[in-house]
Amino acid sequence: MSKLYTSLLSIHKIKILIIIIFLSFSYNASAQYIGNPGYLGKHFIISGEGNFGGSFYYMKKFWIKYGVSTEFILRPRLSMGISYMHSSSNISATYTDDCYEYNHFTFNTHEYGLDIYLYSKKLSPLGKFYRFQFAYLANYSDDFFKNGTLLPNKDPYSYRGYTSDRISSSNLRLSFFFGKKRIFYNAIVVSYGVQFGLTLLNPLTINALEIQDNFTDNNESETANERLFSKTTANENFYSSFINFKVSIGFIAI
Amino acid sequence: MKIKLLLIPIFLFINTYVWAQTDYTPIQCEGIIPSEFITFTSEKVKAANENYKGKYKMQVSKRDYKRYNSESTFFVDYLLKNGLILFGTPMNDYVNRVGEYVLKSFPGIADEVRFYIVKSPSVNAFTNEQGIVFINIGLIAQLENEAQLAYIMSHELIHYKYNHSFESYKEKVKAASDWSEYRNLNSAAKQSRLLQYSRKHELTADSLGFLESFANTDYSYDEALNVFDVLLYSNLPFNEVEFDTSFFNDANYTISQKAILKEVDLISNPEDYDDHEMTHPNIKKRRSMMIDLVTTMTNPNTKKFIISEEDFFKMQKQARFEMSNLYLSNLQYDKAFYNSYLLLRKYPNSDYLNKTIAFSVYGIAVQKKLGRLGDVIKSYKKIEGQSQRVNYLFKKIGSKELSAIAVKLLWKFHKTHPDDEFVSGCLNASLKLLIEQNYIHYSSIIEPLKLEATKNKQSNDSLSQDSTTSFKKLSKEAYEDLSKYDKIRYDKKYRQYYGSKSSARKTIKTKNYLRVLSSETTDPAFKTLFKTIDKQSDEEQENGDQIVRSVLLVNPVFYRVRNDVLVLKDGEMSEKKFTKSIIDVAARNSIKVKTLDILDIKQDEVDKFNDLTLLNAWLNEYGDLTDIEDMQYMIPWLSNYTNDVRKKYHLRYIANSGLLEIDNIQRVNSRIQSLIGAMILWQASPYFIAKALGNDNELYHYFYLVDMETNQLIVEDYNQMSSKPTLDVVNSMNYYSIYKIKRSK
Repeated sequence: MSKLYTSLLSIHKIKILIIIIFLSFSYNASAQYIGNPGYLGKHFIISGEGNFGGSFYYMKKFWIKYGVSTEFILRPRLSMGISYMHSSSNISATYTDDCYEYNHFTFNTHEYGLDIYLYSKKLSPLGKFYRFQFAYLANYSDDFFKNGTLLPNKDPYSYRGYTSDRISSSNLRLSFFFGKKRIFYNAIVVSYGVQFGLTLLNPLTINALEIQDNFTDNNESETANERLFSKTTANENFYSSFINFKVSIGFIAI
Repeated sequence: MKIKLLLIPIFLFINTYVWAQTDYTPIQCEGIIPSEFITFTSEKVKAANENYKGKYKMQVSKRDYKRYNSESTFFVDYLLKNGLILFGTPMNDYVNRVGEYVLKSFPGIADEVRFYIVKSPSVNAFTNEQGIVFINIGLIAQLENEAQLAYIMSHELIHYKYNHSFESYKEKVKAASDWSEYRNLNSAAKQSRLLQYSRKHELTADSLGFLESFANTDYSYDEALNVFDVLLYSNLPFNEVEFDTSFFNDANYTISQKAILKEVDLISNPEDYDDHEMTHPNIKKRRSMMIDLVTTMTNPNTKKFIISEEDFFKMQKQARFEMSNLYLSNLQYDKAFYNSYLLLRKYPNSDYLNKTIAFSVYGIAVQKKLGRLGDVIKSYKKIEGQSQRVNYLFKKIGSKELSAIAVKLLWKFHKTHPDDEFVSGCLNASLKLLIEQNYIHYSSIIEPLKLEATKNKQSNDSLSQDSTTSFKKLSKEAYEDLSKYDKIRYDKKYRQYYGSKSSARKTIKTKNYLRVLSSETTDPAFKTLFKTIDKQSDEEQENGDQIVRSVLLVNPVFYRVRNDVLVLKDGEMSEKKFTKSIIDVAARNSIKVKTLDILDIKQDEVDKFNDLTLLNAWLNEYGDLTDIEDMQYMIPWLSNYTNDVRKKYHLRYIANSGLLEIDNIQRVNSRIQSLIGAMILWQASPYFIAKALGNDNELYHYFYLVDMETNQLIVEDYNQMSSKPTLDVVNSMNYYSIYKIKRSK
């Protein structure tokens, strides 16, 4: 994996970035908090969310993601929050290591998002709104090196050179959402709308940047498989996030 | 017991006309509230819609009929429910008696007709399909006799008898149709033809009103012609009297020469004006037609009064007094001033008239200083006749001089009525204006010059007797006894013989505004007050704000317009839900909201109705005044009458709120666009399909809260959202407004 690629996706740095952005917003928000009526004095929303999306050209594939989000109303037209979403799917791919050939793996993603909501009218959290999300996507597979078929002429007890079946990668994504929000019984919050997502490092951008592997590792096959996993998951994330119908149901309180 | 019962009408009579001996208070409704004032509009429309049979079914579609009922009922109910209509007063009683007499010629409809008086200064009368004849106070103030009133009633009753209102609507529907003779006309031509149709109705009402009704009465036929003079000159005050510009002068002050108009424009005779864009034919056409009619008939009668001459003039006097009140609350300060000026000549000791004069000058002074003179007085160039001199004066006089005059007049009134809190408030505000905006401090006022008191009234030699010409000059007294219309004629002839009536005036050029209050400086009390206000202006104003705990919400409204048609069905229920939402969300903020709403008033609660009327009018006046940059200088005129109501409701904060829902069917193009979106972005198709199926809803919400004690606008909140009036949205809109109240402190 390239240095550039690795450094950009450093979890540590991303976490710091999220904290800095969040703190800077919270600081401004606390300064302006006084003028914040919320919905009947309530400012905090916690919701369960579902994303439903499919590829443009590959109609058979349909992704469902689910998760949870929080939103805190800061101003009559502005609120912020964080969100988490999970998705899991089976990926068909053919790859080998020194001993085995594999043809599928289970792909999981944990998405951690920082959300900014802008409402079209000064009645947040009601009505038309836009949601901008900056998300960190942690991808992994627990069975990437599992369920393989022994290659010909290989001893089933031969050492594979690694201790875990798990493999991981990460992506960044920017999303834009527009939709509507309603509140029932002064407590239940329902929203729906359309989300467009752009995974930043996707197969296209990777190719465009011509990122090459500079490692001269002894374990060539492992590096190649990690790259395959990264590209495959980036590809999946790109297409699964590109257009979604999003629904959420939650509660408003405090 | 019998004696007591006998005393009641006597007491009522004395009570009603008590102002004649002492002073005038604006007219208020009396007795039991007629049911049509408090019946829900939606119920009226529902009942009217059930009449869709017979002649109506033959003429318009059910949809158009419902639309007609909605529009006409809403308009009338707006007048009835907002306190713009008077009932139960002696004025109503007199009008009803004349109406009953006229209705003898309309046996088929006599039971259906009601007469009401509209609190409007414009010279007008109108009727509607429900059989209500409305007569404006402005018209009553201008009519010369009962016969003229009877003819106006006859005219309006013909409109009702022959369904002119509905016929006009029908014609409008026809014009909008692609299948009528209107189809080849452009919109301007259609409009012109509709107006022509309306003018035809007016001529019909003029002629049939005379033939079918007025000619059967014992009134003089001539009055059916003279009434056109009233209409022709309806833009003028009820009398034509030269304004004496020395009105403001005293021993030490003479008004600036530049403010005096030497010669007023003669009243032109626009009888034959272009009426192509008007609903009524011009007066010449109407009068000519009537002359042809009247002269063909022998006139056996000479009576101008049948019911009661005394009551007519009492009513006329009351209407003329009321005009000042209406003008002031409508911010027509120039008209209020001249109207009171005219009445003051006959009733010089009237506190009401002196107060209205002082207030109108004060109002003009404030507006002039704040650059909004055009909002409260008409340009003198657009005025003819004697009142032109008044408007010229207010336009040309310096702002400082006018502000000082306002203080002078208010002080004069205050001296004789120290307990009048309203005038005291106006006086303080006008002094504040003088000090803070005009930079006149007590020390700048020129001490009394002890000049020889000059004669305030300039001799008007133009009206003296002159036997050298064939034109007979009238004495000033004889001139003033002429009717308004005879004065107009006399002035024209006078100008032909003698030219202008201008006279030279004394000029004092240097800082005349510093002399306005010279005489008042001799009064230690004035000095003390002036210096107190001056000191207060220098000091940092203490914030006397209180936490708002209780609010009176007056007549909240909810209107729904669907596809450009007003929907009244269940309107009151929606309005009640809206009101409840305000009360609920206010309670969340520890604010108690009481309501004063026409929907809650019962037939025997006329006092409550009058309170509602007054507060409604106050809010309207205040709403017009809030354009002023700073309300600390301006007190609404109707604050003069709200003290009692405020005490009654323990009221300091008053609020008004409304919600308008506009619900239009989404255009086909928009629906198609959404469906295309659903097909292209199939992943998000539920969103686009929902959008394609929905309508275009817009919701407009307003709320404002005023501190009646300080006249400060505490909260003014407008919200708009693309949504139906769902509970969450309405709650949220109300909450934002109420939240602003808390934040305002």
